[in-house]
Order: sequence, then structure tokens, then C-alpha cells
Amino acid sequence: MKKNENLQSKNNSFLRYLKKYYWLYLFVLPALIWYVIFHYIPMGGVVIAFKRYSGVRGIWDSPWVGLKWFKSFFSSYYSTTIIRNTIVVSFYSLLTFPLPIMLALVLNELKHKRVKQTLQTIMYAPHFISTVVLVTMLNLFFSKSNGFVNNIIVALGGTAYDFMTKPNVFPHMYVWSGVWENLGWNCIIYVAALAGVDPALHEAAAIDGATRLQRIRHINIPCILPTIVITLILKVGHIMSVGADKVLLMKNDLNADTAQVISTYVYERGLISGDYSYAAAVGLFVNVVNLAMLITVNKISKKVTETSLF
Amino acid sequence: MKKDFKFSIGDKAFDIMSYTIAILFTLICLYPLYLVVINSFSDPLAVASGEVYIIPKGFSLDAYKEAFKNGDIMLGYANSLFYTILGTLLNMVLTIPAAYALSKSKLKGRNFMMLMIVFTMYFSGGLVPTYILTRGMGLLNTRTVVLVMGAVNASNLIVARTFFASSIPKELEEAAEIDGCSIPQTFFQIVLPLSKAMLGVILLYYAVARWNNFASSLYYQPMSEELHSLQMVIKRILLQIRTNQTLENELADYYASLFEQIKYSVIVIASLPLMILYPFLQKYFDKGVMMGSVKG
Repeated sequence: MKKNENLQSKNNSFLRYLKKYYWLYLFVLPALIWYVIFHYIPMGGVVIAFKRYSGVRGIWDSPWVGLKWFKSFFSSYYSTTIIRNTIVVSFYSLLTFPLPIMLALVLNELKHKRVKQTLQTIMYAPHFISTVVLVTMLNLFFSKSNGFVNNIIVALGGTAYDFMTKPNVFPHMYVWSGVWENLGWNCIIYVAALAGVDPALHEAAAIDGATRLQRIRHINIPCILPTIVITLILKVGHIMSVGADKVLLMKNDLNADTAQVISTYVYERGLISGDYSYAAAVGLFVNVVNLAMLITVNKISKKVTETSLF
Repeated sequence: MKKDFKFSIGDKAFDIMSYTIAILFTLICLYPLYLVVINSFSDPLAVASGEVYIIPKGFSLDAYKEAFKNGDIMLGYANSLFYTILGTLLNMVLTIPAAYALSKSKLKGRNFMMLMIVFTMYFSGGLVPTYILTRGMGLLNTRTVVLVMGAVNASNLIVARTFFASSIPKELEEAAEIDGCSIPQTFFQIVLPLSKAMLGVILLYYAVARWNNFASSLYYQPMSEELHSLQMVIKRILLQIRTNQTLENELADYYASLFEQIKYSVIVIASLPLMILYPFLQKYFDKGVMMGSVKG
């Protein structure tokens, strides 16, 4: 009897709660439904990596094949090339990671606020350019015939070089155009972190005779270290995913030896050739490696620097 | 005294170094953009022979005229405007109220909901299952698919949620509640007007992403070129030209040169909306990143 009453009052209070706050649920529901449809259903759809998917039979009625697609990918002669290409481009990009930090440290030393602001605004501009436009610009400027860069090389007595089709140049073109595009933008987060450094630390250090370089080394860098670590963890969490967009635009028949990465391969095998199960398996492999890397790096960082994402 | 003097010389040198590096990098950012613009309206022959470096040579708007005459580009432009305006609207409608609700501790189960959203940043089904889903829903080769893809961006949602949780005074909302304001009333009449800077930033991020998107068209509209966004049209037209490079090596007549110059004018045309908005929006950039720089 008492239990029943309790339950009833609990029910009543829940109804009262809902009556008061149902709007909050209505606010959040559309976004959640979108996430379920466009993220969680495809996550379930990943089972086709273990099946022989055919459009006619649908996902559930297609027969299971176990690890067949994974095995056939890893035993194929091109899998090592594709994985190597991906890792080369990815690690190379990772190596440019200190550049925005260095730029932020430099910007932080500028005394004229106005000048600093203006320079920064200009540095952001390339970030807003689309990938298509960026690659078109690369093609124009690095074109072998009368491209701006080759004109300079020829004027200086060199011979014109075909930057956009040589496999060995592709990683450089990819990474450094990325640096041009995002360096200014990526340093904002560090500039913001540097703005939070307590000026009293600098004053005290200056009185003790520390040079500006020493102050950067012993005050600024330690202060922004947590920001650096978090950004680095996030970067490593995407180490195996070189975005398909830009590579697809830069890839051509001639540089495919280095420009075929996992994401572009998934696109071509899956969406163009229609080998859905096979491409899904390759995609799943990448996602699992990424997740594992993220968790590992996060753990290491938690131990070593006491900074972590979760 | 002597030591002091030395110190200030070092200081000067340090300043000069910092300014040099900063200005040099700014020029590196600016110069390619400037190069595109001056090439787009110089004399086509001068452009094709690569003579335009520092100042425009001659003056011709033929490349712009040709670009505007191209039906595909104009159609792509219209499509992109449609996708950007409607898509950004959809982004805001889905993201902002959800972020507000998720900033309220009254919302039971919000930790689970956040986990569900954040998890998608680190793991996804991948391209192929998403493609199969859109095909199954009959969305392939429609306008809807471009609008619906990327309708919510988790990082934007987190920025908005953090802003609501930390920058709107709680007393204000409590007072509104006591005065009998419903949740939507509080949200629209009190919270949103106080969030203009944040809304500006999120709107900017979404609009830029929409305008620059070509992948949705590439993946999900393979059979209907008439629905392609401008970026996809440019990809189709401009990036294929590269294969004809041997032709360009021969003596360039006016039209061959013009053909080459169109690339420059198309870049300018495609970036125009952003260039126009840029000065108005730049004041939001720093604020936006400050809001976004949340740890964990």
C-alpha cells in the first residue's frame, strides 16, 4: 500500500517535471534524431564489412563472410602502398604541428595591438578559401607551362618542373599548401591561451634579469602546454584519416603512386566501383585504428603530462 | 648601466625579428590571393604567358564575361546559394535550441546525450554505410541530401552549449521563470538576444562550410549534375583542364589564353560572397575561438 503510494507520487512528480520541462526535450530531440539517423544507423550498417552485401538482398539478408574482405585487403599488393601513403602524408602533417605554436609565440611579442590584429585578420583569410579553389590555385601557380613558380625557377636559370604530377612531390604539395591554408587560423587558439598568461610572471622574471627568449621558454610555453597537449591528442586521433576531399582533387593518373590514400581508395572502390562491403571493411579498419590511437595517446598523456581529453 | 644598454639592444633586435616574421608570413598569405585577383582582370595574353606578378597588365573583363556566360557555373552559383541559405538555416535550427537544452542541468539524461554526440567525433560508420543509408532513403541525387548531410556539427554545438552555460547569467533566466515565462519565451526573448556574438560565429562557421562544400555533391549526387554546388561545378570544369596541358604549350592565341584566365575569374567569383562578408565578420573570429577553446 505504502509502496504503491510512493510509486504514484513518484509518477506524479515525474509528470510534473515533464509538464514543466518538456520544452527542453523538444529543443534537443530534432538534433538527437538527426544523430541517430545519420550517425548511429550507419554505424550499425558497418556490419556489411563482414557480409557480402548486395543491394537486392539488403543489409540483413546478405550472407556473412567473416573477415574475408579484411584478409583480401591486407593480402593485396596495393594495401601496403595505400597505408604507407596515408601514414606518410599524415605524419608529415603532424610534423608541422609546432608551426602554429611558434607563430603564436611570435605574434604574442608584437607590441602594437592594432598591427597584430590586422596581421592576424589577413592570416585567417586562406582558411576560408574552399578546397577546390585552393587546388585550382596550386594548379595555376605550379603549372609547368607558365605557372608563376616555374617562371621564377626558369628566370633564375633552372628548368621548369612539373610539381602537380610528380609522385615524389605530392606529399610536399599536400602538406605545405595545408600549412599555408591553416597556419594563421590554427594559431588563434594559442594566441588566446597566451593572452591568459599572468603578466605578473613576466614582470617578476624581468626583474630577475630573464631575457625575453628565456621568458618565452620558461613562462609562455609551460603556460600553454595543456592547450598544446589537447590539440596534439586530437590530431593523433585522426592519424589514419587523411581527408578524401583535397587528395581527390590533387590526385591524377601520374601521381597516384603517392596520392592514393585510404580515404580516396574507399571512395573509388565503394562509390565508383560498387564494392560496398570491401570498401566498408577498409573504412572500418581506419576508424578502429584512429579510435585506438586516440585512446592510447590520451592514456599516455594522462600519465605523463596529467592533461587528457577524457 | 652598460648592461642595461646591451639589454635594450637585444630587445630591439628581438622586436625587429618578431615583426619581420609576422609580416613575412602575412605577405605569404596575401600574395597568392592578390595574384589571383590581378590575373583575373589583366590582359589574357599577358596572363597566359605568366607576366603578371606585381601589378596588373592591361585591362580586360573578358574572362569574367566568359565565366558568366557559362551556364553550368551560373547554375552552380544558384544551387550553392540555395544550399548555403537553407542549409545554414537548418544548421542553426537544429544546433542552437539543442545546445541550449543541453546546457541545462534540468534536462535529465543530458550526459548520455552529450556522450552520444561527442562519440561521433571520434568514430563513424564511414562513407559507404552512409551512402547506402542515403540510397535506401531515396535521397541519392536530390537536393535534400546536400541539406541534410552535416546538418549538425558537434564542435559548433559544444561551442554554443558552453556559451549558454557560462555566459548567460542564471539569475536572469530564474527571474524570467518566476515571472511566468515559458522555456521558449525565455529562450527567444532573453537568451538569444544576449548571444548575438556567439550566434554570429556559429552562423559564420556553418555558412562557410556550406558554401565551400563539394563532397556532398560528389558522393551523393553522382547522376544529377544540374543539382551540383558551385564548388563541384568548378571541380568538374577546372580540374579536368589540367590534362590538356600539352595543348597549352603551343602558341597561345587569344582564346586559349582566355580559357586559361577564366580559372582566375572563376576563383574570384566563387570566393566573392566570403570576401564581401569577411570585413563584417572578422571581429567575431577571435571571440569565436575564445568561446571554442574549452578544454576537455
